[in-house]
Amino acid sequence: MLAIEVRDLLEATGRLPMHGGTTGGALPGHPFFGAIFLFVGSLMVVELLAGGVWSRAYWRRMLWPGALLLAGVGMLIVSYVQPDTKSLHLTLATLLLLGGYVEGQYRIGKISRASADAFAIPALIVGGFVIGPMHANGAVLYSAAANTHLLVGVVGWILAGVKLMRVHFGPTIALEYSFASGVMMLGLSLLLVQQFHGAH
Amino acid sequence: MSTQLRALLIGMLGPALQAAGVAWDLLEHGVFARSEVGHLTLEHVVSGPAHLMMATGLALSVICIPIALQVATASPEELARPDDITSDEEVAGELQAVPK
Repeated sequence: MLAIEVRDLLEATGRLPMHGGTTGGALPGHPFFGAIFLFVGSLMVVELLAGGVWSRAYWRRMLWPGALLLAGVGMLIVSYVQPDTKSLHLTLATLLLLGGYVEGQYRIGKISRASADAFAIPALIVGGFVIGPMHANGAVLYSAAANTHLLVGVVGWILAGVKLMRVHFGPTIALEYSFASGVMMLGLSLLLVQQFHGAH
Repeated sequence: MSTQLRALLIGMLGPALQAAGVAWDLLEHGVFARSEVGHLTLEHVVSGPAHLMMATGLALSVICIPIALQVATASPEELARPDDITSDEEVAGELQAVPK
């Protein structure tokens, strides 16, 4: 009985459109952005584990803002190459570039964490809407591509929630680990988009 | 958390990601999409999510294994974070100390 159900489940999963989309020869964007966020999220976890050892090298402190700037430049290229949804990609590029700048200012000690969060929290909420409900092209509940896009948006909102909790409760180890692993989750969700979607 | 455990977690994060990528790839090509094995494209090899996860794990290992060695030989004072983050035990203690 159970074996039959498992077999049905595997067959149903196998029918999902894995790598079903096409980019017309151009490389897709989602998995590379996913890899960037998975990489940087992992390094943020390492930063917390390593404590003061991490700060021995200056470039390590600038990895998070640097990754945001790199992702912003990448998104600008996507909005130039991709013929549709230019406004959505440009919005994301603007948020990523501004986020990288603000985080960089915080890391070099020019602004406080509260000032950086004053930008980061609204940016994560807006970014969640842009990549989630607005970018989910397909029937929600019936399209794996739409659902995985929504998952990325929800992860963005969860990250905004973690930041809000940090403002409310103050910085704690648990919240710092939650944010770092949330960035890893953001990367994983973008990789899942590619798994079930394939386009751009 | 002990110094050795921190070093172990830092050192194992990259290999763990690589292992997860290998498992994802085996699951995809061995269970879910067996028919695709004969029709692999360069685009899939370069941008396949499981492959990128393995590459991320490899890059992470290159950066993290030297950091793990530094952490293993560091003193507890060196492992303290430069900015002052409150530990959860302290927060819990403060909450308990609030008079009813």
